[in-house]
Amino acid sequence: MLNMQPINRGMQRLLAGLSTLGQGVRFVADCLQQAATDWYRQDFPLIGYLFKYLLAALLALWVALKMEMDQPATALLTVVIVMHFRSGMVITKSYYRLIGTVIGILFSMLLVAWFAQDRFPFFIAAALWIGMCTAGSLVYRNFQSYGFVLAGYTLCIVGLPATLTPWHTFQIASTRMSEIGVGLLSATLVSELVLPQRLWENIQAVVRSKFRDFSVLLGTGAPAGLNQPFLKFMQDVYQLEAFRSSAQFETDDARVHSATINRLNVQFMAVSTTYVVLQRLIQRLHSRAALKEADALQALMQPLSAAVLIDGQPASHAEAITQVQQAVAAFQQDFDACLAVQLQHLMMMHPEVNQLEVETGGELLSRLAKELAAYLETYALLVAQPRARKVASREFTADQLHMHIDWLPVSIAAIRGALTLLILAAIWMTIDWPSGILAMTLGVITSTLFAASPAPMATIRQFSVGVLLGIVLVYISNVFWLTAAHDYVMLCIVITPAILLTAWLSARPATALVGAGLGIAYFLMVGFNQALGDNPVKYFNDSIALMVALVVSGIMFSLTDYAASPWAQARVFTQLRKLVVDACLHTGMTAPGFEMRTRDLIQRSGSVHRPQAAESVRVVEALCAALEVGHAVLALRAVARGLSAQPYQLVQRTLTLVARYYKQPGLVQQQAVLQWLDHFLAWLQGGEYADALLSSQARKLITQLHFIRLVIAAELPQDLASTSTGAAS
Amino acid sequence: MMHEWIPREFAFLDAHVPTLFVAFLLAAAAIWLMDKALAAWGIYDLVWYPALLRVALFFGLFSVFGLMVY
Repeated sequence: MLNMQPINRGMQRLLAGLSTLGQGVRFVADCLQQAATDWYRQDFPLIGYLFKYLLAALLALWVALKMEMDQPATALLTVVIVMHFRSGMVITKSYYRLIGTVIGILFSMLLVAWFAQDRFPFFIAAALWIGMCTAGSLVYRNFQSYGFVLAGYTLCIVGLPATLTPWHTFQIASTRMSEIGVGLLSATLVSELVLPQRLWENIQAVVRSKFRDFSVLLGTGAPAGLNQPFLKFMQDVYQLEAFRSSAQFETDDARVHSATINRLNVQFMAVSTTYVVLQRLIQRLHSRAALKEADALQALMQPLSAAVLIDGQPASHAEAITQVQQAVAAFQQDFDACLAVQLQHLMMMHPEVNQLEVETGGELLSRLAKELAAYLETYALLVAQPRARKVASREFTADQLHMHIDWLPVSIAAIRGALTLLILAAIWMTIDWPSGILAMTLGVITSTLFAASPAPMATIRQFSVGVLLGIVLVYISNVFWLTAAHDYVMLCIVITPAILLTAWLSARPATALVGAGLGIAYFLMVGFNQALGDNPVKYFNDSIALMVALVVSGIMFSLTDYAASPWAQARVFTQLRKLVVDACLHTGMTAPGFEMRTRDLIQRSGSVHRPQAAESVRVVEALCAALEVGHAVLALRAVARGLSAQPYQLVQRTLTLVARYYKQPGLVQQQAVLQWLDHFLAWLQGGEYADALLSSQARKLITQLHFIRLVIAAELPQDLASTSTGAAS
Repeated sequence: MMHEWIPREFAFLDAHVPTLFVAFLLAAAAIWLMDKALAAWGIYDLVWYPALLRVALFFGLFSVFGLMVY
């Protein structure tokens, strides 16, 4: 009989070994799969983007060469300028680029027709045009601003060459137009058809993360001050607006939901502001050692905080959102009863407590709950993704984002743009510079493109690095490679490194400007326009021209660096106060309008981009203070609308005094407002209004007036002194 | 046929403009309108590759207009 035992044991070992091996293989496969998913999620989009970029550029080059256009490099330059990760962005950018180019060409032709025989009026008109374009690029947001940049730049690539040969103007204009058209068409076609990246995903990501952050903030409170989250929210609002404004050419849901997104943005602004104002009130109570009132308010707010989070987590799916909505609705329903109970409780336990503080906070809290409910409703609509047909039947319009335009920086930028052109033109005319037109082109590009930059010097520096890189690359390709390029394929091989490098650099936010500089310099200078190959004299002239243009516009930027000057900040404070004055006196001002204007002012001041800096914190403080008092004033005016003549006049008098205080901040005016408010409050609380007012109206008036009084009384004398000197200087 | 009485070029403010360019603009305008309607009716939800559909529609329409000229 054979002994089976060792064989069995061997089999068992073999099986065990195999299963271990199997586990090992499965583990390796899991790792590989994980790595592949990571790669697909993180690196693949970049590679796909580089591929698209290259494809679009080569397609444009092929078409331009096939149609025997004068300057195929212009088509390539157009591709480099409009390419973007998201196809919606590319189409929007192309659309505005087309409009800008058409207008620029029309103006160039007019200019040549009027002044071709005399250069002085020509350049004065050109400088005016560049100034206007720079101003426009600063006033408008996103890609609309881009259209203005292009209108200015087109004057340089069409109008200036045409001055040398005026009889060819029309031909130059139509070929430039066709080259740009080829570039735009190939960029949009490729980014639409090849691996399209949709905006809707970005929009949803921003909307969801904003909701998550806000839920967490509302549910758990902010540990490290409110300024940082508030700034973050502000950036999100403008980012979402940027996405939304580019979504109009998308095929997906983003375009259909455009109105909903806009409304969500407006509602989010309202609810985040009210939350910040409420938290500031509680902080203020703490700092005045009014702990009982602060605790009472926090106890009142507790159910709302609890309602927003589900098991300590923000709501993520549709049912959870419905649950939160129901909880908030329940909170709203019970709120009045809760407030009454809390007030009674306070009266019993601590009769010395000032009830008015709690009532004021309660008013804010009920406003917060109302705005939160509205925000949640829109958010649910957007996240639950109902089909397009239902969306089209949604009958609402949201306010457009209002703009606040400060004409001082806009005029400074306009003058800077015009002067840059004039200085370069003067050099061109005095020394009979062969590359003057190129210098003017780059000077105009930099001074219009970076006009809105919060730190133009750093921007120019980065851009210059790119331009230098481009000059070096042009040397290599012109001298060593282009001479060997005998057909289309060879030409593609020669320019591919530069295109890929430009694409890769501009895809990363940290080096986006370097990429822009590289692309622009390379395709302005690359040597296959009229004749293939290199011309060393022209190359050195052109390189020097680009440097001179950068130096001139750098000097102009550093001389007129408005955003970094101490005035700019003082002016922002003054303008915030001016907006509060408008809220007091201007009957057309609505709460969302006021909100958007103040935020736009701060957004444009550039402080949002430097959230860590000390002065940004001060700016946000000032913004919150302005929002606080502005909304209180607007609420007061809303209450006053239903009043009879006598109390209405009293409210008007209050508004005038508050406006006077915000117009000229000073101790005297502050005292005057406070005294008047005390007087008014005493009259209301004394109950002598019997027949002039309903008691409910009186309560509303009292809480609003008390709140305004709190805010104004909290402004410290040294702040007043500094802002008033700031305003004066 | 239509191409017998549609000129291939015409003078616009004394500049020769190919009729094909006008066909391009017309096709673009028509697609722009059609695109709005398709998005509003939710047709794009039923399509595998909406962008491709849109581009294909454009080229189809442009070719039709172009063939009217040539």
